[in-house]
Amino acid sequence: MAAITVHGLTKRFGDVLAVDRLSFQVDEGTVAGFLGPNGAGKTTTLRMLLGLVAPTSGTATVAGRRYRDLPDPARRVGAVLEASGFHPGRSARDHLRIQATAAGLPQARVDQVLEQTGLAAAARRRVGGFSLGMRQRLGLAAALLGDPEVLILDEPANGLDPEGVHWLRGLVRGLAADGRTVLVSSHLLAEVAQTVDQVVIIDKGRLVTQAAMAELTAGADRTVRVRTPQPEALRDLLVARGATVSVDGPGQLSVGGVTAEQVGQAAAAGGVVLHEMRFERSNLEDVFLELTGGKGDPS
Amino acid sequence: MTSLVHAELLKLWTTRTARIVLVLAAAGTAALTVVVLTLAGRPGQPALGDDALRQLVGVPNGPLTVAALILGILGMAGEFRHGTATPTFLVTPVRGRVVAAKLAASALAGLAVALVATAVVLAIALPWLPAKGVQVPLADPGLAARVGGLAAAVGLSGVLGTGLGALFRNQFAALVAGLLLWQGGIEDLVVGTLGRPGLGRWLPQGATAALTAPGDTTLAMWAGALVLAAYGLTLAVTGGRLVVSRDLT
Repeated sequence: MAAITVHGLTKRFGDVLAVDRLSFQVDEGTVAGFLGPNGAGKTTTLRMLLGLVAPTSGTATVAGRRYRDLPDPARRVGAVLEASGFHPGRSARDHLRIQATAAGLPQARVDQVLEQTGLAAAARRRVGGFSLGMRQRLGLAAALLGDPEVLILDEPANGLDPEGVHWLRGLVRGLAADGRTVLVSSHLLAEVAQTVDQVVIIDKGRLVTQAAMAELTAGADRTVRVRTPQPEALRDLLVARGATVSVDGPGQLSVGGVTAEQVGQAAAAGGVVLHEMRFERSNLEDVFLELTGGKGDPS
Repeated sequence: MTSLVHAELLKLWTTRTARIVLVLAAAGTAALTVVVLTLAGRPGQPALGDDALRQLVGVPNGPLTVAALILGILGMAGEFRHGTATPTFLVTPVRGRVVAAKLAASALAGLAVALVATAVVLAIALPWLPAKGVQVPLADPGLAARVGGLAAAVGLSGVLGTGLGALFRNQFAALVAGLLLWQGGIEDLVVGTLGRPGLGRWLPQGATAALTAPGDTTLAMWAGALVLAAYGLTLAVTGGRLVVSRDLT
């Protein structure tokens, strides 16, 4: 059954179409990566899913219901959002006490999640003095308060140091091992590649692809780079065999859609000299950039 | 709903600003009481009569209503200032319930401020008045009415503050508007410009006066309370609709 269903979701802010007829679903017990370059509409989508932003049209539901219609939302869904704030003058513990009180959760959960997120020692310090990484941990602690079966994490690795990223991966894996559903957004595929079962990739508010991680990896391994003094001849031979060929530089070709063996056979059959041939495991990030129009917008 | 109001009271109590406002209100009350008691009976100042305690209880209404107004504004607009509106509405996605809880919490906070201030006034005045030769009739029903009036005025100021905070959602704008409109003498200006002195008692300051210093020119206490509550609820409903409908990006 689908834990999260997004159907025809659209959001327009004035002239800007932030999310454009987006549809995807995340099955129960799955860890899904929600990917796209900065500005692709990830945060807006997640905020619509959580009832913080009203969709222009379409629906976004958790366990078949709109977020605001969920009974006891804190026990069903835990969310960490980027712009989610903390009062700088309040201690981490007080922030969580308030959340637990409003949600009708036992106060004992406060100390449990502080422990779970490694914040127990800083619990009584004012959040104003917290590093970005500590704030992310506090956000996670708040999301875990209700022990929810669905977690929605918006760029949770932002601001974490390498050790923190490692910790986060372990945490997400642990949550997944409990059978929870996790939707985690990122603008870096590599950041979530090791943790997720499937990916939903969006760009300019639209769905680019929804695929199992395994499929995406398979698609990533099909480039053969060739150096030859006869690039035109080789290109014609390969194109005739259905390969896609692009010229990388003088005498250098990038061949897609065929295996290295097939390139070698084509060259031998046509009497083309090869100076170099390498099967390139183009990395996931390239696939991602290719899928999303690939400028690697640093903004 | 009780747990939401409890959470809102916790929010107030766990910020330093709120505690500073409370301490300032108590200190201001003490200072005003001392000044009034010291000056009473000196040349040009009215002497203390049998109703001295009644008068004294209402004296700090200015700073107290401002304190409650500020607490109400901070409680509502502060959620947007610090981005805590996101976690708040994640826990309680039906936002109207949050606004209602804030109204209740700020009214309760106002009541608490008024009662603490009354205790401060009594603590100073009870030992002092006999020394000035004034009998202190504690069983005075008029005194109880004054304390009730002050508590209502301060509590309703909290409601007004919450409404302003919801309307502006920008802490600074709400604070400026609140202080200007309710405490900045704008009402006197309006009344003076229009040349309609009778109008003043229907304005927020005038309605507050009906509760804290009732007299011939003010509304009856109950009417003052109703007028003040009407201002507060109108603001809260108008602002609340904005809080409910706006996207939280």
